[in-house]
Amino acid sequence: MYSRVPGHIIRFMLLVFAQVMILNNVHLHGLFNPYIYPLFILLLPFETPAWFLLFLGFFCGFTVDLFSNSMGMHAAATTLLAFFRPYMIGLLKPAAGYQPEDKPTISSMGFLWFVTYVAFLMFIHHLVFFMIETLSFRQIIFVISKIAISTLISIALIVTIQYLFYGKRKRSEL
Amino acid sequence: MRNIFAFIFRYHAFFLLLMLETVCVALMIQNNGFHRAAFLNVSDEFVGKSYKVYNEVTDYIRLGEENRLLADENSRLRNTLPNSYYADTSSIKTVRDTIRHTLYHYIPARVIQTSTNRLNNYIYINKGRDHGIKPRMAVIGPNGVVGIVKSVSDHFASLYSMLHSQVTVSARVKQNGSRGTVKWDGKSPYYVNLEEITRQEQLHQRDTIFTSGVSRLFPDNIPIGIVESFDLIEPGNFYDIRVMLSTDFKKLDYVYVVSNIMHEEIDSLINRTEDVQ
Repeated sequence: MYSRVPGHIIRFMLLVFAQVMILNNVHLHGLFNPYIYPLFILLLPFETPAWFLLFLGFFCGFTVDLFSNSMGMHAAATTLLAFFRPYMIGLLKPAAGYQPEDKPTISSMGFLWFVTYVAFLMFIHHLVFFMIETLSFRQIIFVISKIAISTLISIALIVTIQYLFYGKRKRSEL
Repeated sequence: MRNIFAFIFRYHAFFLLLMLETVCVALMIQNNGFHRAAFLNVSDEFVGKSYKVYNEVTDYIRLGEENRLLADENSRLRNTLPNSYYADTSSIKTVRDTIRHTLYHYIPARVIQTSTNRLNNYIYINKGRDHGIKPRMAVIGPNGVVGIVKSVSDHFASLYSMLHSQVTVSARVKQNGSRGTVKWDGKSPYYVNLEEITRQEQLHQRDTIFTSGVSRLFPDNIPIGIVESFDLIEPGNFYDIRVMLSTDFKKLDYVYVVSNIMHEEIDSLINRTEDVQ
């Protein structure tokens, strides 16, 4: 357990760096804003207590906010994502329950489980974030398409990252 | 009483969520105004430094493009020098600057971070309070209007980009001099909308739009863009004009912060006038 803490901290720093320095510079007609930094919250161990998840969610969003001059917007979206995470894990519980060695990753829980888990939570995050950013219903069609496209691309990126960095290790163990 | 505690404990995650979201909303509201709390300037300084290091790495990639832009601007400025005109009369009229007061100072700065993909875009530059930059100063680039200073730390400043939903710039159409307001609609980073031009005015495609100087922030005659298309909104009294920005916000690098020396004098005069009414 102790040995895993530095891994989470390094992942946090890498994700925020990738988000702020690379993905925030991706533009395509203003329609396309993928956010991958919530992956940090998504990959925390199953046994993380709810209150700690919330604090980490807030902290993680706040860090991205500092770099994007969007005070509070990422923090609000990520805190809500952290709040829904335990419910989502409960909903997706396998028939046999979670094993002690299970982790919320693609290699441990399988593709279908992981994609459902990521899709729902990332949708909540993007929905809240883009609604707060617009704060009006004037361009509702534009915002809805922005949410839909960005969510899809974020999910695709997150699944790709999973295969790139975490896929191999598990496969060699099997 | 015990039941209340038991209730709060049972739903502690929900109450914590409410608490944290309240903090978020407070942060958003606080960040909305022109001024920010002092403690955030410290983080501005840290964020500014991080972006500066990042920029030093990526600068080399765009060196060629920047050189061309700077050369363009140099040649344009050289064209305005008195010694680049051919004197064809014997009586040379020299404009003596000693009888005029300087009204604007231009402080050169470099963009260290910018975005164009959000509804409210900001730009960070590498000059700050120590270089004489204050909030609400105008910022222009080699090709035209860039934005307005939002907040400053000792060595850095953040700007409201022209691509910000709250920024409006008073503008003038070159050919007929009619005045309107330029605003961004949050979609393409290459276009803005010109509003408040009445239907009586004659408009032409590719007509240039300048700043009008009415805003007091921007100097007169700074280019904003050219008219791309226009039509009348029926029934209505105003044109819907689409303006192609002369500045490419994605490639923005060198900018000038405009310091209006008589800004305070004009402001206090206006305040006094409006107080009397």
